[in-house]
Amino acid sequence: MNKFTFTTLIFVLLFGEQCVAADGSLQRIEVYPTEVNLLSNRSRAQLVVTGQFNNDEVRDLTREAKILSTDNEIASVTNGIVSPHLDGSATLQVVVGTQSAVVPVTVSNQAAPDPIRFKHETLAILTKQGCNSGSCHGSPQGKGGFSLSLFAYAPHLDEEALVRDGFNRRTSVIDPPASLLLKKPTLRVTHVGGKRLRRGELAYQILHDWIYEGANGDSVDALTCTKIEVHPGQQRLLHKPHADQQLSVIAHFSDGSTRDVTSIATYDTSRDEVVQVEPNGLVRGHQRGQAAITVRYLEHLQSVYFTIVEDVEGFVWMDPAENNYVDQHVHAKLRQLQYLPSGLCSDAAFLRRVHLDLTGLLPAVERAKTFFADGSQQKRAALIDELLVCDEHARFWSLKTADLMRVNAQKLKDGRAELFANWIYEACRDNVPVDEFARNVLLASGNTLEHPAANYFQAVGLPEDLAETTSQIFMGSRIGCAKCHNHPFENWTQNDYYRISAVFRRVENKDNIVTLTAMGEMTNPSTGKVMLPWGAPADQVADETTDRRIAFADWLTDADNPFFARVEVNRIWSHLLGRGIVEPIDDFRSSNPPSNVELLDTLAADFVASGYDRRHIIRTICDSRTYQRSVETNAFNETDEQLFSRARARLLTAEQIQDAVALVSGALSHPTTDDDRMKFATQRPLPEQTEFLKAFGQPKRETPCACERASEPTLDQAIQLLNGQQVFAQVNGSVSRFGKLDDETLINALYLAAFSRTPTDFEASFAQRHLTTSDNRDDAVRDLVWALVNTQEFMFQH
Amino acid sequence: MHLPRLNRRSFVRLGACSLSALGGLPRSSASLARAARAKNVLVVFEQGGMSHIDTWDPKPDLPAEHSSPFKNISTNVPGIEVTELLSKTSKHADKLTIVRCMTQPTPGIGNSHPKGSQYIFSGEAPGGPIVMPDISSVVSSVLGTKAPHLPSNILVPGTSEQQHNTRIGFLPPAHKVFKTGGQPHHPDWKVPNLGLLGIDERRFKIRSDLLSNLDVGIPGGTRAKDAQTMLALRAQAENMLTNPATRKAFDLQGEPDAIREAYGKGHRGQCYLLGRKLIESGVRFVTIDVREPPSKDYPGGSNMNWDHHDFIYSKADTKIKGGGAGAGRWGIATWPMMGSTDQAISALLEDMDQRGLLDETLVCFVSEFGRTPKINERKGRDHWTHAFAFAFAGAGVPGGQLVGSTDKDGGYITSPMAYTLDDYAATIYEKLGIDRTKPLPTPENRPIYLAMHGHPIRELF
Repeated sequence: MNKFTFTTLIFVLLFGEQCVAADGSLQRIEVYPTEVNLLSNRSRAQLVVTGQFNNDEVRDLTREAKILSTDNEIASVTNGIVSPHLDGSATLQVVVGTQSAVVPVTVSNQAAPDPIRFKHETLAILTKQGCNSGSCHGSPQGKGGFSLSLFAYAPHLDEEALVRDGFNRRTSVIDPPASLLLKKPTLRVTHVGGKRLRRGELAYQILHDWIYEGANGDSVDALTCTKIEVHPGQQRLLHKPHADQQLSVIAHFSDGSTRDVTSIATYDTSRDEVVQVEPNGLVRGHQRGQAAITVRYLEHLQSVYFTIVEDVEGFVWMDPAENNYVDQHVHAKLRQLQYLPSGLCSDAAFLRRVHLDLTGLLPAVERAKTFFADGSQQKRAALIDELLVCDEHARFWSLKTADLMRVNAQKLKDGRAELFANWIYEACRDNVPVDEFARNVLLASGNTLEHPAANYFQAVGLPEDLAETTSQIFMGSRIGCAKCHNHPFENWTQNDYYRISAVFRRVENKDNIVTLTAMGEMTNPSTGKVMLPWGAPADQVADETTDRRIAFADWLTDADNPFFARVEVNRIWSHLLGRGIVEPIDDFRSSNPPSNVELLDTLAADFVASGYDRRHIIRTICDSRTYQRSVETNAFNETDEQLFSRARARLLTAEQIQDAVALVSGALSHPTTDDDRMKFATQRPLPEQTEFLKAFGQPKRETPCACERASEPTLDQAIQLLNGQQVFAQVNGSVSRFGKLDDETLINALYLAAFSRTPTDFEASFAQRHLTTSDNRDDAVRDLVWALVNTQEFMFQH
Repeated sequence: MHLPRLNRRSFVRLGACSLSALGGLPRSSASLARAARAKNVLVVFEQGGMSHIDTWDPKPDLPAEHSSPFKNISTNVPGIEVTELLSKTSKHADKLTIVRCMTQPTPGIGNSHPKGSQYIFSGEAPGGPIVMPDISSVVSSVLGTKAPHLPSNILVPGTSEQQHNTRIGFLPPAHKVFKTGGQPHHPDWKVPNLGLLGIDERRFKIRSDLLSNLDVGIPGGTRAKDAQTMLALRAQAENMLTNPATRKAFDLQGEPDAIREAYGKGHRGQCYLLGRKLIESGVRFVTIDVREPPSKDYPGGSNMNWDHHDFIYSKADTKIKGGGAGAGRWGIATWPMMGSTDQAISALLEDMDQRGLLDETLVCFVSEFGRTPKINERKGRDHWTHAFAFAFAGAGVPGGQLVGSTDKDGGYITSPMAYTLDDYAATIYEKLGIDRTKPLPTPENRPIYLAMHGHPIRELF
């Protein structure tokens, strides 16, 4: 102890004041893990030293800390990593500035052999070095004749490939360094995949020692890894310039033992402009923003969400007004990351925006006039309420649902598509709670001409397809990758995939009648094991009369389900704001974090509390100032793309723009009857597929992916609007509606119809000059209509 | 994928390992640059499964009951023979490499016309986890356009049938193949959407001026990225609609009569000629897939591809109305089939050579598979994926070369090398200098390697 106290003293004297932050002083330090047990001569432990400062800042001090062992012959520390030497106990003294902490260390089994574990180490290294990725030896054909299972999902195949294939040249037990497994990635012989390994590195050492020890696979009773534990937990906020964070990854095994796997786990970042991560688990923040660091070890995956905060010069938070909790959460995030929200949009912009979003149609000229004339403070909220109960709203929103449910007449023949589409429309019209809607779909059976929802099983088919489609629609999860292999960025494993498939295994569709059979199990093709259906307790499964879908639907629509409510509110949010809080909206996974966790969670909780009332969520979002912001940027939000500090201008959808051209040209008038409504593409849950609609990205309804609807501008769209048959015919016909109006009335009417605003003086006079100077007024009217439907202001929602 | 019927180990025992492995390695960027001779690609896809035995790979020793009635003829290259159905083309053998060892590695996959056609369009066997885009769409997305007033990827003419074979896969719609449609040889033929519709150029100019004055942008939102993109696309579209060069590229009427005659004035010849014109106008990737339309000139012809299951040697139409797989087809030796094909290929080769277009254009004559060595009971030949023949020209492809061989029946490959449709795709990518070691990401960020199962056909470099 004497030695120890003395060194501590020296350190305090030498380095004492150096580590105190300029902007806050260090209050205390914590060390993770709080104790270290090194159970083998190859065990190591990564320490993580965290400092708490008096300005509430939390900072990683692992690299600043001075760490000393009371007995270097038992355990020593280099760069924050503890190594064992002799059996016994020691204490580590960790010092930063005036703060210190102690960590007890126990070392055992140092004389006992500890052979390399094939799956837990050899394969983990091959994964970490990228050898078994889809672009290298993990591709279905392998590379250069050497094939590994993708991300090591099949260890027995890998053992075969490493030890027995390739004429035993890949692993040479007699002369390990001569193994191709070591020569190729170190480029001692040509390797198309380049340099992947260096002698002297831990990865090299592990592969070398594994070969040296006999290149053995795991025994049948080998331990399995049950979970990984990542420090510092789920999220961490870092302030630049102190934006580094060392991670610690500890694997738990089936015998209750643990082992530090920080050095052999694999790390990825979701946005490398924000944070990057080094192979040893050191995370480095680069610029303000949010990103997930995903830690993988074998089939286990965990993400840590990093928020990097950086002071922006001149930024002052102005406490902007808030209409409801949406604004509170959006503002909290903006303030944290130092963005300022834009101001509210004009009444004209709001009117056009909310009509397009809620009904799919441009506002009628008369409605625009009354809205502008209305002096009430509450007129925006009143308009939202008015639109939410109109038939156009139910029709337009049922189209979105029908897109995902794959309601297409090619698949659903003899009127089934119409039947299913109409059923979806009625659910929207009656605002059927979304959990009830999901149950009605997932539990449907019977003749598909009599039971509309049963067409879900007609449109989708096969248990695997049903599993993938259901997961994507209701859980926002793309589980498709797990059909063949565990995915590097997905929490869904192959077992999960076949467990969800098992839910639908006994659904049968014979002669267009959906029934349940009493037999049929799902097996995981990799393991040959029968899979328990997802959501079902084992005793229920035994009963052959039980509809396995019920337990799944119960799990899915439970208030605590982590996906269902979040996925639905995120879809609604994306329809209204042009981007999801999770984006892509049907790609929920821990490696793809929400841009505002609290916002998403609060919306989801409100949705559950409201009884899954979709209209309530739409109203709440539309009522917020966040929804009503202008597209105009300010100096403090120009670079914001994810935090909703301003409105996003976006191209009208295919159906919206087709109807908008028809309304502005006068080819159609605002609908008043059901027959009228059916003339509008936005009002038919089963729209026809035309050249025009396809050009603007109308989905074919062949997949459950929201990405099937293309939203990017294309050349074809420009050609359709400038010169397409449909626009040409409607522009030509516009004369019959507008030709007789005098210039001023005509120009005003067109501007109101197209943009929901009156023309500026310049626009009015320019348009009038065109009308009066042309030799043929009818042609001049057509020119004007044509020009307006080709403007950005028309094509975009803003 | 060499010697597909042998597994890797037996192959090694043959001692050919080193050769094959070398051919299979993706190239380093330096050697890739050397290999990259092509700037454009012209694919002539004769769909339906053209009989290789009756054309590029003559088999004089077939047993009488299965023999081809066509004589072998010599070409302008000593040692290379084709059948008399290619007599005009035989004068241009010095510009061609004929590959007689094409095969489909897993015959079940592409043995139907839709799947086989999709396979040849995309260079990857259909049915994988990801729908592979057409080679032409990949090329368009990787290399972009050379002539902004024209689509960069055009199919001549493109019918509804091909709609089901061409695929855009995970690529953005901008790279989808542009189909000219219709019957280019018809005097009234126009490309839809590429000419002004019901309005003359003067008026269009007036409208454009009006638009540019009235398009004030998105109020407060002029920086919106999509709006900027749309403006650029609109400018490109206006250019396409009004640029005289666009019209000229499609204007077959403006070609000298002698040239039009040389290609043959019917559907096939004029499609080939249009292909040459588009390449000359700067289109990156042109696919010609003619599928002769019904016409009163060819009564009984309603389905005139190369799918000769019945009466392959019929002197006119196959005379099987409403029945048999060969219904509505014409015999292989007739004018609408090999007659027009031989004339069009020879004219294309000569014309492109004279214009210097072969320097930088890879020309590929392909079909999704070949036809059986045996003649069936309906006097036709059925689908055959084990062996068939392609021909290549231009972009550094050696002229006067034969690659590979088949047995005396034309049924199986006897040469040490065998090439697949994947290899064909890899060849196109390498000729264009596209780095196949760099994957394309899908929207879900899955890395997709181009012609992943293929290796370039060595003899073409």
